[in-house]
Amino acid sequence: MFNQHFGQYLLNEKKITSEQLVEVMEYERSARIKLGVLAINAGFMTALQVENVHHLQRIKDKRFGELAVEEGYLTYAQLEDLLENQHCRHLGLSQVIVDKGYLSLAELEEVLVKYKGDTQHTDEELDRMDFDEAARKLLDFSSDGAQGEVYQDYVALLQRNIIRFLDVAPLIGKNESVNVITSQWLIYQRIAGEINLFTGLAMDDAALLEIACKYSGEALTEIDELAKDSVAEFLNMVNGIFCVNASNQGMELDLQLQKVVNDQMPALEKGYRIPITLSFGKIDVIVAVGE
Amino acid sequence: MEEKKVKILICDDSSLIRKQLKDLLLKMNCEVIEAVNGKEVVTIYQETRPDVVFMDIVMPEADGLEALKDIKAYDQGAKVVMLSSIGTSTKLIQALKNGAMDFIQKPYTAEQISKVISDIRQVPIASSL
Repeated sequence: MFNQHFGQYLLNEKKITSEQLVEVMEYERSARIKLGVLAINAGFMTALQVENVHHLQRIKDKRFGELAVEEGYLTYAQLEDLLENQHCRHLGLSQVIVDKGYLSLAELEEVLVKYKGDTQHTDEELDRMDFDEAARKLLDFSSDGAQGEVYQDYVALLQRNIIRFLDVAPLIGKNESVNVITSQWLIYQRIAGEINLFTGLAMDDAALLEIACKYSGEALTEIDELAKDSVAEFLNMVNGIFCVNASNQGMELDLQLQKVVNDQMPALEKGYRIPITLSFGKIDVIVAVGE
Repeated sequence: MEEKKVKILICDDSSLIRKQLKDLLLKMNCEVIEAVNGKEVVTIYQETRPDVVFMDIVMPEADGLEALKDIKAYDQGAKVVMLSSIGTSTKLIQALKNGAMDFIQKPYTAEQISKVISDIRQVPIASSL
């Protein structure tokens, strides 16, 4: 969860662009975390000290840790601590951002310190942070009362299921009011009953095809009936789980038919758009009063 | 011993569900027929008399629970398994009251489908007698 949260923070702080973040997320999973980034994150070394060790590595045939200890930047105990954590995926995003040159080590150091100060969370807490909490911190539906709580729960559920069924890490942005959808495609479904909720996924051709391939496991190459039905089925499955969760809390809800449209977009009442950045592109989650 | 060829009617408005369920059932040596809504499934049931129906609930024309009632009214012995993303206890009770044999919440697993087929193979199939 650290990577998603930190990525979102970098976007909000305008330290990297959403295009850069998308690219970084593609590489993040395979990134091998280097000791320099780990040492900066742990506060054991400054960016300048890491740069100095990198320079020494170019002229001496020695490993990073060995040189850092020789130079007095790290103790053996600190080095051991870093080596033990090198396998953990936790800092993958930071590593790729540095590798791609989007931030220098000094800029990374600065933003990591600021991030930890701003969020008041330790690394361990950030790792444990769940999507409900992340959605609650970022999204503001305070003027919507009980319906706002429903939106919070819905977005958190959707995020969990994007990971579970599409196998990509979602990064949500702040919600914005919206009345009209202007995207290429809108896949939507109303949930009716004790609460009425409009749910939708707005996206372009490329995102639709990618989500369809990932959810169905089929090799789809064009936006045909099967591709559209795949995305619609993904939304239907998420909404089905939402209804089951509500039912377990004593609230009976029903699903209406899903629709996939690229014109004649439905008008929304008190609607919100929540941008979600995925490794292959961006989509918007749409929630609104469902009547 | 040769496996009984089980005739299955799939009813779902989603082409994805129909395709993937069909692919799975063909691997299990079943004969597969398809319907796309709750009205069509009743007509196709009457014409083909399948051994089992796998049916969605939220569908156009008539929903799966209505179609289930109609199928059971035509053939009290019809074996219908509801396959739906909305697996609430209310829906389950409604489905069982209307005569469903089982209820599987989507996304289904191959094991769940295989269990239904193997249970069907354990009992004599009227159409093959």
